[in-house]
Amino acid sequence: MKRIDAIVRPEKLDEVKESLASAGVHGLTVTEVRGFGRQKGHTEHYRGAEYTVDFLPKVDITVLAYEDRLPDILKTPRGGRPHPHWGTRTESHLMLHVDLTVIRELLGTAVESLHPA
Amino acid sequence: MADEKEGYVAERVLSRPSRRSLRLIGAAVLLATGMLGGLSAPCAAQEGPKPDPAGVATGDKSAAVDAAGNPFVVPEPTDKTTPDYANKKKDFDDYQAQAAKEPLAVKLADTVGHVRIATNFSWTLLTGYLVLFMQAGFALLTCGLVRKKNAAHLMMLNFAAYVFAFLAYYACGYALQFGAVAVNAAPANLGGTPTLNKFLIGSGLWGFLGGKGFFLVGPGYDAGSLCLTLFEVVFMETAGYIIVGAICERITFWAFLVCELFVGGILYPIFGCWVWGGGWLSQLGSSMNLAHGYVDFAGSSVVHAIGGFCAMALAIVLGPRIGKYGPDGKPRPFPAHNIAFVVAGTFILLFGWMGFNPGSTLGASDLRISVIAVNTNLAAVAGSAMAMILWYMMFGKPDITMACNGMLAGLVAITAPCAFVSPTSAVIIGVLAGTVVCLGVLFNERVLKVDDPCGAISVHGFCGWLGAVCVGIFADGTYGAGWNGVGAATYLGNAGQGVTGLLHGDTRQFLCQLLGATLCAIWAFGATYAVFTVVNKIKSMRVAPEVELEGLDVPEFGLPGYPEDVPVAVQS
Repeated sequence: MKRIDAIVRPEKLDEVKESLASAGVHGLTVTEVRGFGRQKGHTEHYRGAEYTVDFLPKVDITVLAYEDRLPDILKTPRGGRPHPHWGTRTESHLMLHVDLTVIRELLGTAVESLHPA
Repeated sequence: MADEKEGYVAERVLSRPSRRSLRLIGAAVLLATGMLGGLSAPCAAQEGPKPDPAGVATGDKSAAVDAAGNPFVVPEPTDKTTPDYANKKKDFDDYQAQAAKEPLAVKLADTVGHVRIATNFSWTLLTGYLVLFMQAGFALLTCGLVRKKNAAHLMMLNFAAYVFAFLAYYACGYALQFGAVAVNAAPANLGGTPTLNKFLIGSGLWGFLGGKGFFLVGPGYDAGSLCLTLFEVVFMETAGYIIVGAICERITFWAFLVCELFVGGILYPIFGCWVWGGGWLSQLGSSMNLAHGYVDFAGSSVVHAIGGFCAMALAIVLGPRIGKYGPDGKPRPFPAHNIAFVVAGTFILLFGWMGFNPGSTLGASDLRISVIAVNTNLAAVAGSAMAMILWYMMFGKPDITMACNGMLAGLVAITAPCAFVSPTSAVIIGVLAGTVVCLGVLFNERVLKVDDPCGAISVHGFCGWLGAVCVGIFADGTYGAGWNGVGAATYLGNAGQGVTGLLHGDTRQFLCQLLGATLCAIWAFGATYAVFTVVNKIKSMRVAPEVELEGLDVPEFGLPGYPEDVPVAVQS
């Protein structure tokens, strides 16, 4: 059994959930988390005083899966057709925030072998 | 003394079951009866107009006037030296002859006069209730603007402000402010309140403090006077609420109560007496030939600048909230925790202002109320538009809380001139206020480094001052003939010319406004700063740093504003 963690934007949660359900995932756990990535948040003004919003709200999705289900669950876009369960970094603005590195680190080279470039 | 004895006997009889608590109540009764007895006895002994608590003697034919304010009853001219004495005497004789011929018409005029006063009572009380509802608006607005951890504390401040300032105003505030209103500024629309006729300090055109109506007994226990009381107490409460916006998130409850008693009992009524109670500022026209004297229609200065500058002094005495300024001195934001409260509160305030300004005519028989209502709204939207546009240009995005502050700034600034200016001027005043409030917020935060969480100083202090000065600039002379006893017949050579500003040819009015508004700021700031610097020396008015960091809700009141946020185990 493997554990997959993905940090996604809160507004992507429904889409990911439905997509995973169609891939045969029966159970998920989500955790509300906060964090920032390469964009390092953004600056705003409140009544003239500047402040940085860096710890943005995210959702951490946890899935437990048998190894033979991994190829389906970790499916990524092929042939330019964006139809991921998770989204990828390069695909679109909305999809940017699925952190595949996290998955790669968890699963090691398995992901690379499953998804040759 | 007899009253005191009775109080003591009552205490003896009642005190068996729980001696300690009932003894306290008995002591309070003793104190109250002694105080009321002592106050009412000399009043009852005095000659002069009798109070009318039942309201059955208020409003007769003397209150029957036509649209232009001409009375049905022609008064007998007394001064034989006036040039038009002969004409006046003839009018009086004609009236007497007519009245003798048609007694039924005179009786009917009694009814007409009573109905007029009754209409004005309804208007004044109803608009007073609207102003009362503004307290809910203030509570929501300021609660939304603070951090979540102080939400309950802020609501309690707003609530207690109403309670304690009201009691202070009942005890002495109303009497100090309006105890001599009948001398120079009798509210004819409410029957003239003839019992409030003596200054405590000063006399004639130089009155400094009213002296009748303490605890609303004797001369204060009168239908006309109490109608005025209701309307004026909610105005005072507005000043009482304003200070909350600048001192919240760090003041202790006891210190806040002292502030409210000070505002409701002393600070507000004194300046209020000078302007609305027939005091010396309002009479500068008659005494020093300064146009119509100091004119503030509904309280840009009397209510708002007093509250705003009092708030400024308190904010300076208290100092900024922990973490408001970084080590480099740069201000840090503490963003509002509930924007929905802020916007809803602002709209409630706008709605309440429809009582605040039009109600200040003290009568629906004054048809200027429609002009006032439109002017008030126009200044509000112009102020808000200006704040949004200015913020858009300065910071790239309009700030919702500043848009709301802009609307309030427009409202505050139009409060003094609303009755005297045209709709076009109202828009200009709104635009000016929208600019002043934005720059004022930045100036307070960046230059003066006064920590004002809700912008109360800028909205009510700076824009209140601006509004009072705007009377002296934009007043167009179409309204207010005979205001403060000046120019009833003609003014600036024109019959019916009212309060007139700089742009319409009356420089003296402008100077008088500038003087009065500035004096208001100095009085409110100076008196508050002096008193509360001393109070703060005796015992710190601020909560402990660890309380401030935790949030004041639980340490001060034992209940968080949002209990579901706090992990607690409730044991039954």
